[in-house]
Amino acid sequence: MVTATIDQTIIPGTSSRFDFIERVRNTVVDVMEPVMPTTDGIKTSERYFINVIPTSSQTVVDDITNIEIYAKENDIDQFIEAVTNLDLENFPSQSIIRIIDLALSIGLVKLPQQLAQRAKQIYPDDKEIVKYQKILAPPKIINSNLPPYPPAELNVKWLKEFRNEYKGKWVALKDGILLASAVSFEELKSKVEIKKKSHILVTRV
Amino acid sequence: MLFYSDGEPFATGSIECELRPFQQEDNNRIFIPVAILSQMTDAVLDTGGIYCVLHPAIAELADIQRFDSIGNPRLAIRGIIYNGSLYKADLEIYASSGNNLCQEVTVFVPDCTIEEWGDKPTFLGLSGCMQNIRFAFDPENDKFYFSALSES
Repeated sequence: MVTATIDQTIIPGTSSRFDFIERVRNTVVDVMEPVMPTTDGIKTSERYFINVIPTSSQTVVDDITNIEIYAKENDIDQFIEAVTNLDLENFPSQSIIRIIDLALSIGLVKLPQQLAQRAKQIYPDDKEIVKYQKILAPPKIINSNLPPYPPAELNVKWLKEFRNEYKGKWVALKDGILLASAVSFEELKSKVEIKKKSHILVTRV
Repeated sequence: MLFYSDGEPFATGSIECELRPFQQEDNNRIFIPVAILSQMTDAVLDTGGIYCVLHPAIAELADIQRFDSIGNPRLAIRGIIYNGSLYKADLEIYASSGNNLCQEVTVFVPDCTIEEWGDKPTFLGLSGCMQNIRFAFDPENDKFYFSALSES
């Protein structure tokens, strides 16, 4: 059996934030005979050193490392430029999701949307990618021809009329009629059963 | 209702709205009645904001947590950074005349308690929420007009 001793420091650009084993798995290695004696009980003939040859996956990791730094420093311009120049087809789906998460963490809207859309083209069957694409997709009109609900306006009128009287309280209104008021949301829930589709408006006044 | 000069409708729905400040401001905001996942509440139009930022209490009533989400995005809301989760959910805009309108929008639910959220309302941002809605406001009559862009 061959035992390979791997020193993380020999991997260029290694960061503790990444799974080292995963990086080695994705790295082409050149195994050489050892040139130094050992003192740890491993036979010299079983010890090997590994020279790492950077590959496209190595570049991916380095790109993400840079992008993480831009995100951490909140350098929006550099972040957008770096991400925009990426060739996402070289990136595993999890790496793209990591980039989208970073973009969201610094408050970007359009870029994560575009990344998720592109990722879905590359990985149409990846459930996580599909989820991201769906959630971040632009708004979609479901139905613009639903029947009106005129009593909803009565709630607005009630709020206008009684706002000062109930200021700071939670209220449940139905068609302009006060069902309950409370100083807290929990208390309001204990006073009135609030079911969805019941047209009960709940708000803090 | 409002119409273009060629007779095409500018708006397909309208409703009385409330014009009022919040959080110790003295500038007014437009509040309209909406439903998130069929849970009715009032929400403020926030054309400088993003997504529908849902009040934690309304998120609980709407039971939005049962849907798929993206965790840990960060939003600055009223000068405070909130971590939270993003969802996709139906937002219905109520009309007293014309037609209600339902669209699927991106919803941000802050990861905080109702108490921590304080007196902030639910926000309807532009990007990710109201970007495909044509709307107008008549301050004389407190009337909010709206339609889907695809209607024109």
